[in-house]
Amino acid sequence: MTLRSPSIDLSNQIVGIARGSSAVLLLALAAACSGADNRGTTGALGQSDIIQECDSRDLACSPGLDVPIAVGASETLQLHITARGVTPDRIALVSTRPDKIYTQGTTIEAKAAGMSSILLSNADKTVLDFFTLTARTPTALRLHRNSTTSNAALPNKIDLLVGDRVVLLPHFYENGALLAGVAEQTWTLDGSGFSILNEGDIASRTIVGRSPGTGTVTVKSLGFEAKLTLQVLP
Amino acid sequence: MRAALLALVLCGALMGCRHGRLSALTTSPPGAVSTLATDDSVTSTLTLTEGIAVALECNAMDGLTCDLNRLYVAPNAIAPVYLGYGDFGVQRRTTSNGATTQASKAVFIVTGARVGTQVIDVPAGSETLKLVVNVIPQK
Repeated sequence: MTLRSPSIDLSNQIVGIARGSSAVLLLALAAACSGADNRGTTGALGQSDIIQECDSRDLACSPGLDVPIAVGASETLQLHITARGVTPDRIALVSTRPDKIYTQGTTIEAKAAGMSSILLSNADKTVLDFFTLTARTPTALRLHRNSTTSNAALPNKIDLLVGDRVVLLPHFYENGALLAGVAEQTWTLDGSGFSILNEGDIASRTIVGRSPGTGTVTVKSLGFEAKLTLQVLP
Repeated sequence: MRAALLALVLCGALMGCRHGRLSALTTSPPGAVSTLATDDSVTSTLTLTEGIAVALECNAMDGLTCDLNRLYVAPNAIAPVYLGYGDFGVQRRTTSNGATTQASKAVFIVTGARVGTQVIDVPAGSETLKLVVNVIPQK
């Protein structure tokens, strides 16, 4: 008696891979051109893209999800299901450790240091993809300048001319390493010669040089404080 | 000795030596562990860092499919399990009597909610695969 062994036919998949290789290349090129890939990640199953909800021209988004999120801070995410032929039904974010990373809608909040996978769950509780985030306890707050060319941490003092504008945003750090996430902030201004504007972005303020003078901008968040001395030159 | 030999002959005659299997589709992130080891013909052990999810694929023996709709683990368990969707194309399976089935991969997601050990029964065709999940603390 001859028994035939069970088998799995992968021929269709191999053809599919060959056909799909050019599509993968195009997708990679598209991602490289869009610049959105530095703000997010692809799910572990390759069926979703998860990016920080942010204008792609705004360098305030530059930490993206490439770095851990600061404990006490939150981020709002944009989810794109990329699985072929699937229109998801009310995707929900489900944290495997809500005591470390809590989810509400499309917002994630770091509650305690550690890792947590975030499941992208369909309305029927089927998981389409997942990704893992790390939360770290911040040790410092620094002010960054947000411009079209830089999002580097600022020195302690900068000079402005009358009419100059500079957008400031605070970032959390853990022992010198940048962290992601935004938390409630308090901004104060001492001195004269400049104004501080709230232009509707909870994560930044705009400083405008009005007249020659000096002063200090202070931002407090999660118990940390960052200061910047400003001098407005004539 | 004779009994063992008889079992071996019966095993070969009935194709009972071939069993379903579980395999990992995803890896763990840096600083975490997700290791799937096969202990015996029907038992596998998954070592998983708490808070981490891993996608596993189930393949039943003899061309049968894994009925993951019967897979249930309470949400408050040590290792909650979710049904997964995998856009991985269609697999064609052929049974020993020549019948074929075509279906998408049977995928489920195991998550390490808290430290401990949990045994999960995975319906795989006519047998049940045992998955022992050891959830270990984060570093």
